[in-house]
Amino acid sequence: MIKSWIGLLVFAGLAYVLDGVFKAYRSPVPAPIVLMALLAIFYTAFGLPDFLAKSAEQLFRVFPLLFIPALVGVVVLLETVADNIWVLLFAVTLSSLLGLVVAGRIYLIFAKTKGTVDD
Amino acid sequence: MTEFFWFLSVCGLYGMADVLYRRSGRKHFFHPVILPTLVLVSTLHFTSLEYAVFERATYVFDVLLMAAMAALSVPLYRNFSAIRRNPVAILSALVGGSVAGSGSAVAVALWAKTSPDVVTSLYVKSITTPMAVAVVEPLGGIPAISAVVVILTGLIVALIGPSVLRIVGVDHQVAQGIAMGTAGHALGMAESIRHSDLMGAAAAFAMAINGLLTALFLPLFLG
Repeated sequence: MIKSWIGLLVFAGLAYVLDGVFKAYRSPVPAPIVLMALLAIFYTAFGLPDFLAKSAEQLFRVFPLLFIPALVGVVVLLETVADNIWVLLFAVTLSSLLGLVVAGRIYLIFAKTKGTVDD
Repeated sequence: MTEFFWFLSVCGLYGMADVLYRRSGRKHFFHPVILPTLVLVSTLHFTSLEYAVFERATYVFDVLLMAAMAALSVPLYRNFSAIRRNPVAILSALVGGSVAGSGSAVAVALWAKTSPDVVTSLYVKSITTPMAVAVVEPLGGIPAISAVVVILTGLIVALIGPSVLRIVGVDHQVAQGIAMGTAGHALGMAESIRHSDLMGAAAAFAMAINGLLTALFLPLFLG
């Protein structure tokens, strides 16, 4: 329990500091994505600390909860949504599913050609 | 006091929604983000309560979301050997999925004679919100439209993506993860990690690479 709290503090602290730095320099790349890549490289070089692994498991259990405030942000954009409703509706439904299916099928086609769809 | 109320409301509603979701046998429309979002959006829309207060009260969730995205380094590290087995398949799927998703949305917007700034805002529909907003602004798009489209796209993909993929015969975990991360960015990735570590890692990888490629190449394409 204590281990996962320490891990949470490490993840949150690093993300918070790096986000501040990236925002100060107006970076178009979000800090958490860069941090994710840097940490993966760190584990490869030095191994994965147990407290970070435990903390990650805890965070993933409540992942959807963390998106709720961002989704609620739509409330200030309701007028914009209403003005462009049909185009936006298509963009978020059919075209999203098209992108999803195309990505999945293309992966399978290439992976089957190479014979590596066995896990 | 109001700020504490908002914080408790988000947690409490999520707790109830999660119980409902599990008891319903994980039916799509009981996904634990839907009920709290609908209740909170309705409350803010139909009352005089200020969104700015809600935003301040829930800032801790933004920090935790950044922490959770950083924590995706764990499944990414654990499953990287399985993911990197097919670099050509991954890159092709990323480009194909991204072009098909954004391209079809842009094509319909152009056909419907939508204003150019709205059209530009749709190019970034499949990359994560902070990137989408940063990329679209200098290109002449409307960040607010991009933010709405990105968030709702992620929600749709998270809700019905896994079922749609199974229906069309995409039952391989890496393929599913790559598709969910490409089309549904962070929300797609969050849903993937609930299915398996490998699927979540593939989705995290796809989301990161798709975002970076879009941020790098879209300005060149539109410029």
